[in-house]
Amino acid sequence: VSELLRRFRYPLLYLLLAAPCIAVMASARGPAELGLGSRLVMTITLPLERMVALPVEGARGWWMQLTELVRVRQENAELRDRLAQLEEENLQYREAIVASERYQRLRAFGANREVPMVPANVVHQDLSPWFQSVIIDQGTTAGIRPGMPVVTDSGVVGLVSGAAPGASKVMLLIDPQSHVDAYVQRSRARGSVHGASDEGAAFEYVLREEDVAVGDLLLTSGLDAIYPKGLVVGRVAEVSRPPSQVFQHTRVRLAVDFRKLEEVFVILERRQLPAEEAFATSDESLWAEPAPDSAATSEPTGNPELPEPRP
Amino acid sequence: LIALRLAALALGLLLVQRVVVELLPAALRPDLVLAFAAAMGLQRTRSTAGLLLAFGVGFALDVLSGAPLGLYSWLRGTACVTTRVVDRALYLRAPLPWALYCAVYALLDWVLLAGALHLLVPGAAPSWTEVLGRAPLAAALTGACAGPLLGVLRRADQQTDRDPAWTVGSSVGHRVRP
Repeated sequence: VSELLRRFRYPLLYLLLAAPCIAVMASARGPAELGLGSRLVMTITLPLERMVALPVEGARGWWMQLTELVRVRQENAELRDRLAQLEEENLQYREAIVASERYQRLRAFGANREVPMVPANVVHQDLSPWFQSVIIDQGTTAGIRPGMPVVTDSGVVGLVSGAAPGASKVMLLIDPQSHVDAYVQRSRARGSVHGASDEGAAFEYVLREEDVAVGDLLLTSGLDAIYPKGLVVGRVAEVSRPPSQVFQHTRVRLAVDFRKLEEVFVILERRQLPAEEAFATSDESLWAEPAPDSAATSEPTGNPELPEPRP
Repeated sequence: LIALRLAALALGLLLVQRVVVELLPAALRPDLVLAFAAAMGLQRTRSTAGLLLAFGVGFALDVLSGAPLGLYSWLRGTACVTTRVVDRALYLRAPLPWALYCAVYALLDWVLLAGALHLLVPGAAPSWTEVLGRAPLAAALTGACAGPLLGVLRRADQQTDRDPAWTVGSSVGHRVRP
């Protein structure tokens, strides 16, 4: 027997070990408490495994972070490109929205006027340090002639001082050569708005006893034979009445922001001075002395076919 | 002392297997513990200790995995015994035959695993399609790792007690049949 046992020791040992294994496996019925052997194996191996796993996991995490960093860097570059592209698109869209609003306003402005008008874009700003003019992209081809008034939905811009087939030069209201006959809407006090370059404009030739106050709205009087009556010029910004002078000094904050001028309307109407009888029946009082501005008096040669000035 | 040294080696392999599991996807994991258990079947003078170690390492796998208790113990013990039987008929003690044998046995191990589970724990059994899909690559990788592992085991054992059984594959030794 001992000889047999020694001879078949190995297969017997295998059977002895395998049989309980299969029995345990076959009898396994769901979750159960771990036995002593299992707890022993866990107690021995798990701390060691943890010791091995920690640096491995650390190295793996480091590698993952490195690869992630490379990926993030690439993604960042792509996103930056995309952002720049979107910002560019966004800028164009915003510009389009602003332009659209402006065009709508201008169209509404043009639609509300009975006089024929030509829209034009400002394409050039005056380069000289003293004069204030712009060049627009419409000219004689569109019917524009020198002396025609130029306006926006905000108010008076100036007048056409020169015209070519495809472009026109516009003298702005703030040009020192510019004079516009205007009146105070509230008190009907009349005077002349004179361009003062960077300082805006002054409301001149207003007698010191006339009722002018800060914030009063100035409108074109229509008596300078250039601008139709009732266009907004600006508001009184400052009034002073030096005691020794006949006229009060008034600074005007113009309605149009000339630094942001982009689109304008040219009124296709060159007006003539109304006849003396017209003044006699008008409710607007006309001063006895002639207007001091050459611009107000130097363009009486209007086109007789163009419509008469509106009341 | 030798058995303890081999047990430490088994523990080391378990830890290496843990690293392999951490780093490689499931389909690309070689079964180093299987290679170790099979190598225990090559032991001549310490065959009983080898068989116990194979079962023990399988038991550790049982405990440390979600397998039903006893499954890997039986599989690794069977691997050890099968190797011992095959070693009598075929020459396995060189890296290339050993690698080929381990690859083939890894396939058989998958079949045994799936068969045992289908038979005893049907709820946990992988489908045969899954086995066919995953086993070949894993078996090939196990074989690829088994060749170098045999060298490591042999060197460790030789440094321990100069067991002539491990020198069979080397140029200086001779094969000893029991």
